[in-house]
Amino acid sequence: MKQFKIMGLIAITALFSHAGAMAAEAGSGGNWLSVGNRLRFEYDDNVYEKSSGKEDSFKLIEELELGVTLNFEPTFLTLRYRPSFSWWENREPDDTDLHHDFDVVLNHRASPRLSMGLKNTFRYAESPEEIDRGTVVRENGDYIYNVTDGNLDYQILPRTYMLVGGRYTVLRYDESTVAQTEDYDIWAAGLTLRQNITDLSRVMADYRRESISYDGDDRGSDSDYIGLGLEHVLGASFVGVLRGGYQMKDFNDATIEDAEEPYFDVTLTYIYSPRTRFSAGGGFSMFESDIYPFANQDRTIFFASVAHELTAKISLYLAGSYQLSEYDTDQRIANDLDLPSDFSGDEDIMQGSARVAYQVNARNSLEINYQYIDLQSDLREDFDRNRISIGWRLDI
Amino acid sequence: MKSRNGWIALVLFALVFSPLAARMQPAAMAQEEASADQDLMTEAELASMLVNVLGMATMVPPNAQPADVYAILLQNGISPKDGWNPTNLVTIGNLARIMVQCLGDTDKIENPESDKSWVDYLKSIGVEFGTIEDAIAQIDTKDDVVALKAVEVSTDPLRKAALIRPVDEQQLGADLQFFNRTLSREDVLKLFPQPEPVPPPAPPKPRPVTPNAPRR
Repeated sequence: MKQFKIMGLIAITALFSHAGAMAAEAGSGGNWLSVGNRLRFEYDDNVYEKSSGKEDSFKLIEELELGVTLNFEPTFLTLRYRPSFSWWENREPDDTDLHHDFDVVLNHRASPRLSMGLKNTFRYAESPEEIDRGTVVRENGDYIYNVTDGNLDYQILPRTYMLVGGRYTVLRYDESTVAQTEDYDIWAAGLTLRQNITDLSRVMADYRRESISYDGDDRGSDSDYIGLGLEHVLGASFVGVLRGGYQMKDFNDATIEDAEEPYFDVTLTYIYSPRTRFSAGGGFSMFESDIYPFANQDRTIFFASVAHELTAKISLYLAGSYQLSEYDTDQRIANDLDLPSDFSGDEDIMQGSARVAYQVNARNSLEINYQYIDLQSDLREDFDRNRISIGWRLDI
Repeated sequence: MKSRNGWIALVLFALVFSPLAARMQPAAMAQEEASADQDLMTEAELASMLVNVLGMATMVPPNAQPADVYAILLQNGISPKDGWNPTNLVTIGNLARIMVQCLGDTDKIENPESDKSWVDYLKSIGVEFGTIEDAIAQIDTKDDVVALKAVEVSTDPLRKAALIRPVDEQQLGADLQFFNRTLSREDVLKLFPQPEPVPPPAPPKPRPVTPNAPRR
């Protein structure tokens, strides 16, 4: 089976690389297709994410990216397919992973006042084995994940816009025991009114409705969000977005009380100079829970990143993030498990990454990457993990 | 529930009857109408088209707001001389500047403050265009697009990031994967082994009854 996967990936790579080269040679007619290939050699110091008795491994990561951009103004179609294959030198019992990402975006401007968009995000992933407190908790976490978005943006008045949108998310695990409690469907719909108060500032008023349902034990809920937002652009140097409001969540499980909490998110982009760009953001809200039998988590998340061009050919990227997930005993669904009464608490996740890219020529670049993650949890085993890689990227 | 319905009604009322919504600006309206009539293009329209043409559409939220569009363009070094102003009309100088930025040749401009330098550079490499559409048709998909948003922090159910992202996704600059490691019911059972259920007591065995011996 593994050989078939590898051969299939090589065949796809060869086919699209050839098509890309032909398209590139075809001149301007070939602008619609882009092909990128990224090959990395990585050292991972904690393959199984354990706190003690860590296992390290070298691995090869091959990512192919195929992009199609079609301009039929006023209609634009973007397709992106990215298979990625990893081979681990020391990971038992399965030493390979193969993931597939496929994105489709269709944007259409029906009139100067009306535009529409459709976006589909598909992921098929082989998740590696996971170990917790010395126990293999999952042999195989393969899943299919798909998100479909549709939206319509209409200019009601010269400075007033209305956006109507909908989204359907589906997650399906391969393994039945995992699927039993983790498969979910999420429906969301909403309305935004956006008012340009100046040429560079906009205010927004939002209403959203979200419904989450699980296949098995019902950790689902229905939420209403009402809020306001502010966007501001300052010349060529600053873009900021601030949103906040109130979320009201009804849980499907009758034993959990309804919850009402504020939410907010903020993102900032600052262009210090043409060579140095900063970005930062944060958010707080009630969120889907990753952990059974909790129906909810309060999630706080922040990030900051910087991109700096050291020279015309060498770029440096740094990023860091912090996530706090809070799980409350009162938000456990009714279940037949004999769990400790204190099975609740927080998870702190810190991540950092650095990347230096050297552009050899228009098509080739070399890179060095480093990634760090640290998990501190009241619910499962803590761990930290370092990964460092060198890579080569080819764009056709 | 009653209070929730009240909140929703209040917000909907505010949305529909917002005094801001009624604020009419004749100058802006006249400019936008002129733009439509004379086939001119505003910077807002150009920015929106560029995101599609450059292959950035998969990297912005599905209902991308103007701030999303301007942010990703700025992060990739694409901007008119004085930044993005949605109501400004696109000028030849700014269009030439943006085309050079899309080509990644910004460093080759001798005098970046002068619009003429950007136009002259395009001429020197044989790029010519008669209309804005002509120019856009000559822009290629950008290979090395960077999205500096390391993780998606949006709380909006219509745009918040996929809870699931494949392992090792590190394609866009120095992004980090959103940490997600599900702990399912099955996993919890392995962490906290449940006591074996006590089997119900076996029913008393019926006393064997000796069949009546056949009479002899």
